[in-house]
Amino acid sequence: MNFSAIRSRISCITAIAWYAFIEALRNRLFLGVFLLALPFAAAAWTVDVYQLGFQTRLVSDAGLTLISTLGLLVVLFFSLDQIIPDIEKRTVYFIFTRMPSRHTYMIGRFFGIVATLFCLHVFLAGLLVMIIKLRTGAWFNEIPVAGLIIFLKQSLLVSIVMLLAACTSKIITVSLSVLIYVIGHGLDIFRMLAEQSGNTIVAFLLDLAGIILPDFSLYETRIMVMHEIPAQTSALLILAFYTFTAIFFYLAVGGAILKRRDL
Amino acid sequence: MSRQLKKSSRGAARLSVLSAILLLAMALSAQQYIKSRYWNYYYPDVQVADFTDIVLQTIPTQIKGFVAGIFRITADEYMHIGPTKKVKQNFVAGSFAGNTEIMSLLELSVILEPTNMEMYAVMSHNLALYLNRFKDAIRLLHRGIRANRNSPDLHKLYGAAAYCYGFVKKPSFASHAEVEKNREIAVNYLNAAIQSYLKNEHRLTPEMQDDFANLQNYYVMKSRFLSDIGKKQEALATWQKVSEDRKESFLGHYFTMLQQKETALPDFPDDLLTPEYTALFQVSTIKPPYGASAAYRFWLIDPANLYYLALYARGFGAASLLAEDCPQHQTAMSAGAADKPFSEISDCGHDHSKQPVQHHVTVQHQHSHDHQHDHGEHEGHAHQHEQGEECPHCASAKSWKQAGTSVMLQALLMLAAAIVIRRLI
Repeated sequence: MNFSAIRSRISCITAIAWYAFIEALRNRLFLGVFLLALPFAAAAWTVDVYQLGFQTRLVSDAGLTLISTLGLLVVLFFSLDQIIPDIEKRTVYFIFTRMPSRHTYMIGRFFGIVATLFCLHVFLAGLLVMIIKLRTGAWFNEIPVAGLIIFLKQSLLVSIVMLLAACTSKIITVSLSVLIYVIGHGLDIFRMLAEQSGNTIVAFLLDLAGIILPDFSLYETRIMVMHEIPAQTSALLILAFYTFTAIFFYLAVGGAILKRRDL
Repeated sequence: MSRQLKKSSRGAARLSVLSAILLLAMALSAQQYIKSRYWNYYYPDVQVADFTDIVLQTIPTQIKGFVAGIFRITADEYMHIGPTKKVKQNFVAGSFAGNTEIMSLLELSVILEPTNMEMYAVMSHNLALYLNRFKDAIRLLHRGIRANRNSPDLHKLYGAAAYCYGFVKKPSFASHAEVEKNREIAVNYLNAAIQSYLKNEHRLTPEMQDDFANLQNYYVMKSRFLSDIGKKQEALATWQKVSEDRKESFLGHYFTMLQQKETALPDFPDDLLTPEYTALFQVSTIKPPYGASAAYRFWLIDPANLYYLALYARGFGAASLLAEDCPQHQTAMSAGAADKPFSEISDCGHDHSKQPVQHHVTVQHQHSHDHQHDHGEHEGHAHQHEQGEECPHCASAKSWKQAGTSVMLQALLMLAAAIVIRRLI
């Protein structure tokens, strides 16, 4: 592949990602999600029934939970609006005639959603940090780091939704995404339980599943934020590397399925 | 033809509307019948005072109870974590006293589930005795009393109110007149608590027994408060109802002095304890029913920081409360410490007065791998453990290596697979 081919591919990915991003921003649901954050931010004041002052730990914990929940909503609803409607409305034919490959289309759509997610996380984490800074005068560096980790986790989930959207219907995509999300959080515990109970076959099967399925328990931020213990840079780098390779893997599989799919 | 069709369709519409009205009327009458017949299941102490209560009635009780439970667990977690490091907060880990972080969560849990009696005492004690919000505390207890009028646990709320009134002003820090005024009100609440307890005694199951809110404690408190407000004979009469094993105390000593009409009898029983107050301390003897949390959860964090997390995982907030991990403390406690019940506390928070051993500076790990951790803030712990014993330091270090290696392996495998897929398919 020469330089001009790479350049044209990157420009295609950028164009698709940009339009996917603009499409998501114009969506009323996204506006609703943004607006939903404001009453929740005001809740930091309204829950103070006994006028005891601003409660930092409560606000940071509730804020990060809110960021995670809203991010999850964006992932599930906006990722579904990327590939399946294009196939259903047949607009995908028009796009494919101008694309070097179907992989490019998928990567472009992925980056569109990731850009939307990034905006959401920057806005919400920034809002949370600013609220805490204004009320307490202290910078809580753990919150942006936790926001970054949640962003990485949800980017990985976007790639899984993309993979599923390339081969199944909307309802199955949603169901399987939620299932993988739940299993991804508990797989380590299931493996540990199987090992402890001496069930080697189940443990082996779960080990195999652990190779293919993402391990979302690695993205645990609560201990770090609640105890105000800084995350290790090396661990964050490994986590970023893991996320990028896993995303690459799921998008490659999704692209391959889309390529083989008879549209 | 068309007119006939129109007529018949109009008749069918009329019939369906009438049937719908009939069904609705039947459903409503059945609903009203069920609610009036089984009223005690449908209106168990429902308190509707404002618009919020009406809105809350529309949410199923199970959901409200579930969410309230989550709030309580989170509040418990906050209590054990303690204050934030970056902002000044006037409370310590492991105690609800003065903890402001938990109050909003507990308030929400009480709003969602007003029939849960456990939180009222914690909240009211915290508000009245540590957060200088006495009126709010009493208002909260009155709210609880209104919402639980028929509960067999109602005495706990009266008992909590008595405790708040009884101890919000202490003889050491307030005028005697002020103390007497409050304790007089406390006696009224104690009378209500005792009355409620005796009235509902047959409904109290063994699970409902409380270490603090029980009849014996009410009698002890009542006799003490009666004596404080000058009703010595009534106090003595109440003291007779206290069981013999509870009588061996400073209060018992005070009442013995009262019976013997000793001239040195102080106004308040508290005055007997004045010499001991300065040296008074308490060591937690609670043993957690669980070990350290799963190590893999901590892989993002530097293992050196895990010492403090281990304290948290073991259910203790402050390092000074971890007496059982301090070998010097254990030796001191076992070496016949009964001769001096109120010893002095040392810098590390433990009692080392019985055994003047030099403090070690390092935490020693006697494992196959030798490494040392420095713990500047808690220097007195020679933290030795047997081979195979669970150690948060080593577990975390192992988890870091294991988690990091497995993550990298999985990532490399996925990368290789993705490249193969991209090349071949």
